Amino acid sequence: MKRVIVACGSGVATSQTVASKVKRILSEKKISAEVEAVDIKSLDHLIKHCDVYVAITKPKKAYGIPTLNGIAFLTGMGMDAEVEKLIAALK
Amino acid sequence: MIILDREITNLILVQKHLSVEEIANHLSTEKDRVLERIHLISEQLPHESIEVVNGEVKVSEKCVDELYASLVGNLSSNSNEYEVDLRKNLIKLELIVRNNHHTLQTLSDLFYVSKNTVFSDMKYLKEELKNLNLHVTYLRKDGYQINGPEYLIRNHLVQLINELLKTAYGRSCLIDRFDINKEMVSRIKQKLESIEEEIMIRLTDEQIENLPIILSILLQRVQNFPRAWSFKVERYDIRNTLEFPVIKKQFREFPFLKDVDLLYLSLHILSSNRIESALDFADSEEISSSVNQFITLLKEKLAIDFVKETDFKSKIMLHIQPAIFRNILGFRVNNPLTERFIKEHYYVFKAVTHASRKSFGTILEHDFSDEEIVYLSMIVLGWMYQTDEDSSAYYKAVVLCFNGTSVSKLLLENLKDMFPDIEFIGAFSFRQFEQMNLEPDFIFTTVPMKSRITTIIVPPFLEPDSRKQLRKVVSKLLSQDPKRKAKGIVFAIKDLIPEDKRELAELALKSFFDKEEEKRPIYRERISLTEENISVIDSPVSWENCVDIAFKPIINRKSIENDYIDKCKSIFYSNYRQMLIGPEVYLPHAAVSKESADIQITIFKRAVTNPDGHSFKIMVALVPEKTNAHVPLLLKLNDVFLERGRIEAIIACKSRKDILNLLEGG
Repeated sequence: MKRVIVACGSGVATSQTVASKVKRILSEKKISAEVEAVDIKSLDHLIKHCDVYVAITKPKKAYGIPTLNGIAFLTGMGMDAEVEKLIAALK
Repeated sequence: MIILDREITNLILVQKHLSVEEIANHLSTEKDRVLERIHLISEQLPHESIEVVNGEVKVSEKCVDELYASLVGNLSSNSNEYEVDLRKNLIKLELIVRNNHHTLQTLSDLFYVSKNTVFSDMKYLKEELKNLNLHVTYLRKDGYQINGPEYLIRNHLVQLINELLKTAYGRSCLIDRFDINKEMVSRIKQKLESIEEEIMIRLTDEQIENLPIILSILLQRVQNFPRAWSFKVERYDIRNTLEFPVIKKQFREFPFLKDVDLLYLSLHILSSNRIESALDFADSEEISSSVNQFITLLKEKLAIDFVKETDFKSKIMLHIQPAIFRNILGFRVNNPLTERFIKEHYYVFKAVTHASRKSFGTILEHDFSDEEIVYLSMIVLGWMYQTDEDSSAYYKAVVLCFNGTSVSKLLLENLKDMFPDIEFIGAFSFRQFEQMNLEPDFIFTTVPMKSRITTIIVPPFLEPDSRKQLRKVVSKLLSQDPKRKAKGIVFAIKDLIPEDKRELAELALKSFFDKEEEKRPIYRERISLTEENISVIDSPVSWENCVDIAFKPIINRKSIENDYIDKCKSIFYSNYRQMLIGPEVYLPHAAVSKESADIQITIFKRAVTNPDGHSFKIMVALVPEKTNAHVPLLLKLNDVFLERGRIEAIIACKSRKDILNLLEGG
């Protein structure tokens, strides 16, 4: 199963909220994927097994997988474009 | 302990902050039944109790110790006997560590017992210590003292500390009584980690936790009794080992340590159990051939072959090196499983005793103690259970163990045997596991730990009763989790489903079970907003002060302390651009292990301007909770803030009631 990882500084609020939102969007669109929120320190460890990275903080390096702007999910600005990218990456 | 009590204890230990309702939901039982069982479990604890306040279960750290001991069967059934033994041990420690003028009166004041009781304790201790070549003396001018060769006194001191550390709350007792501060413990721990790195070994988690306490108390003895002393290790020239200069360098910051003291500290580190070593031991050829002989004799005696014999030999070598040091130096090892193991696996114990006597006899000063033999036997038995067969398992698990290789190895093989459906990736120390990138379905652990992976606490030694209960716990867990249930079902009928469709089938089943699970109340929103969670600030507020103002009501509710605000401010002011929960709605927060979440939504009637020149009027101050109980509310708030015109409407509200109404989606 494809996996989406969402990372923010602490992994307790922003990334959790975005991850819940991404899960809801995927469920509405009937796309199955595992979505996980983590803190930024665990990212390097866990990203190896993931297909999409939703970044809350600006990524400092390229991970070789589609990377989305997580802030768009919180502010709604540019969210549709990010959702499209997400769906394309998980298909 | 009945299965329900075991499950409740396990849940409390792993999560600590659950409510009675959540436990009841989790275990599919009634709230009253859980409450009744919690009271009964609590009554069985010798000193501490489980508190239930407003339906929330609360346990202190000492209570956690006692619950854990009750779960793994280490709780003394006779707490009075435990108290007496504890006091006698603490009296000995007091006499060994503190160079005070100890009299019956001072000891009676110190331990809150009568002078008669201390007198009878001292009589007992005199006899006991005589067997160790140590003497309790009393002189009017010096008071009670323990005399004898310094080497033996220190060995006994370490032995006593080790024994206390094994008991339910020995650690907290030692820390309180000997004023061991956290800084000292973490300083010594860092030193040990530097030593590990430099000499390329890895001590067991147990050693890395216990050695700082042992060494802290040992340092007090050295400082309080600065007498000249010496000792000789006949067989090995410790001074010329690779390890000694490294250890010496790390401890040179303590000026009162003489060379002989440093040598003694080194011995304790060298004789500590390790789980990894990149170095060969002194005289390793002699040991290597002895280990070969040991394995050959075992094979003859037990009439078996060991799979992966080279790995088996490395495992034995790793354990035997510090064991030989302990033997030569006369250090005793604590193995609480000795009696139970000998009772249950007598023939393995006898075979290992025979083989070790024949193989290591020339290296050792005297025969290995039963405790050491049992440690060796556990590795042997663990290996005997190991097979070369391919696994047909579809769940993955790891075993995490505090005590080192022998316990974890046997536990691992026992668990493999008990759960053929689970593929056990291996047995690791907590420190090893943290550095590995493993994502098992289960963690079997001998001590409580926090993890988002399902964690099951198991006793280090599985007796028939614990096995039965563990099987029930695991089977219940497997049947409750949608993902695992789906995985299990697909695996069972895998031959009927084309390979490329199995994952889809698993997903479909998982979604099906997910829907069932969502009906359970544990998933409902657990935090609700009231007017108290809303502040309206009419006066102008600066960017620098906005976080303090937003958190003020939370501080007044005593949900957090000022240090949390300082942490939040330091994170928020450098990362505010990412800490949002809506367009121009900031969410200052920090990671914290709180038992309950708190939130405050502040409306600044006069916009606050951030350093980028953008103004905003809403800030959501958050205290997150360990199990993410705050997330459903955050998601709901985000939905509200994203609704067109809703933020403006909230800002325009005249009362907190109206704001609440809008936030609730009205």
